[in-house]
Amino acid sequence: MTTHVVETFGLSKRYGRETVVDNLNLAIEPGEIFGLLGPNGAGKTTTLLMLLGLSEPSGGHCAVMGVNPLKSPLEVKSKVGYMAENMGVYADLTARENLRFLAGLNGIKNPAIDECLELVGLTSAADKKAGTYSRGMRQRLGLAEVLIKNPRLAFLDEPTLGLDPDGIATMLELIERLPREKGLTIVLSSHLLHLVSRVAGRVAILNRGRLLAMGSLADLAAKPGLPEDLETVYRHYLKAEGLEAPEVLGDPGATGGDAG
Amino acid sequence: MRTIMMKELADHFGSVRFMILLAVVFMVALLGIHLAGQGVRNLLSEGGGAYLEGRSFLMLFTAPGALMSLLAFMTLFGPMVGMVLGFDAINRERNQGTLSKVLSQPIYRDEVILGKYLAGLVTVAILFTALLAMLVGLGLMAIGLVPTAGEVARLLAFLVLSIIYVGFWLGLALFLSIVFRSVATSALAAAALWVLMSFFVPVLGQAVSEAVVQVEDPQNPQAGELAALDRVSRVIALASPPALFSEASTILLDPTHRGSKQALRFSTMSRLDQFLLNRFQGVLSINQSLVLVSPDLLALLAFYVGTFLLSYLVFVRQEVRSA
Repeated sequence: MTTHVVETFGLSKRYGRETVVDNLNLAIEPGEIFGLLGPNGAGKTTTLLMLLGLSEPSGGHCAVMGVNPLKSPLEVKSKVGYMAENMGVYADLTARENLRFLAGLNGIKNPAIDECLELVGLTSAADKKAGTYSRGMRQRLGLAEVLIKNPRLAFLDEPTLGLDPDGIATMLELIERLPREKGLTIVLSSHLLHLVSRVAGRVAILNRGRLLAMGSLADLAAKPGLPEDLETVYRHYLKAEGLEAPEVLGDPGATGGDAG
Repeated sequence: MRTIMMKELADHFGSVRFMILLAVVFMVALLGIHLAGQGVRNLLSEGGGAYLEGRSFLMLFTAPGALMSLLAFMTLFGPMVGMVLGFDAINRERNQGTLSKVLSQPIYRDEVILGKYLAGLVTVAILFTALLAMLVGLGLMAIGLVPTAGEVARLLAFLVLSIIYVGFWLGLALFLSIVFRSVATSALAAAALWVLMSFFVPVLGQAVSEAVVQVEDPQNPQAGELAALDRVSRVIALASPPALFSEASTILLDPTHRGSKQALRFSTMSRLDQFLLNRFQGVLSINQSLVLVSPDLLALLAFYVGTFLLSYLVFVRQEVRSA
């Protein structure tokens, strides 16, 4: 099964007695947009951190493009772009300088800064300090920082968190273009189903670190005994866990942190 | 690492903080040189000129001014420079959400602290070289004496020593910025450590030595008892970088100063040199002074390496997420 871009086998993470990720098995295909869906605290961020080698799994193992991130973190990090939730940019630097710094950290000699800025629509603001940017612009700069290293895989953690409806639409549009134009595989984490369902081909629904269901949205909806409506499906899986999570169906402008 | 260092350097030099630091340091320097200049002029006019032959220029640094000597100023304010440059190095990035981004790039974690550390050290080196050059220039004008070659050599050694000293504080501040998530807490902790090491440890040394050493008649202590008192408080002062720096730089800047006999015991000086040193009470050569300084320097370097190692160990084990 080496064709999978990301594979996890029984991946687990415990902090003390608390299990954050519990025996997770995932397989992500190249070129797809994969949604990690779940309420706050479901273990989405922890999973991504383990895949990047930034956090050590307590059990199980994982492979990112055939590489074990625990053994060769640098190899994984050079191939994978990661946009953390609530990620920050250097406020005193311009967008261009931020990108140049990131390219420098990746040892890229001639980074395609202008193209990246063009792609995320920041060309006109390229030489303004990032501190003056709106939240949406900063988020797009964050995406450009992922793209500057020419990754083959991108982990986007709550990329639409705190954006207004326009910002969300722009961001999703961008994310949707990337697999087609750059051949990227994207793993997208969110607690908002209706956002993920707009771009993701397949999703995994997580709650309290456990995988509840995985498959294309159509597959999940077509499961016997379930109504067609995807939100109802999502709610169904969460309800099976005894969790009523109105925030997962929140409005597009919904803000608030996600520790998961 | 180079990328991080260059960015941090640019950050340092472009920051308002650095400008304020520069203003404070130069203000202190101006004040210090003014007071010290007066002191040296007084000494010279009292007919000490012949006595001070060959080291009158260095007196600028060690002569007690109206408040304190220039050296004491530097012992006290040097740590401030190091701490201001380092106290928020890591936790600021953590709080603004750039740390996880940097750490998800293909670089080792120690490159992050090393890059930041070296940038701070280069900044300190530039600042202190400029400061010393300015002090020498102003000193020339203040007392109208030209330093001899030996004095210049001693000044250069002193410059290196002070950069190491401030570097220690920089490393300490960096460590605090790793341990404490809040910038305000690490600033406060740095200030607390500064007070502890600058004021508390020397006083503690005195108190402990008085408790340990039996003095028969406090009104009229014997020479041996005084020596014992001195020895104990010196051992405790080894735990205080300001005391080490103060001792070492006094030896470097004052050719007649021999430090303690303790230093001699630990030093690598040959027996002949030791004999000569004890036999002839006079001006030391710079080589002899450097040998005398070596134990203090070693202790200072041990502190230095210790804090850095600690920073590294804590940082590598730390979770990335800020929550």
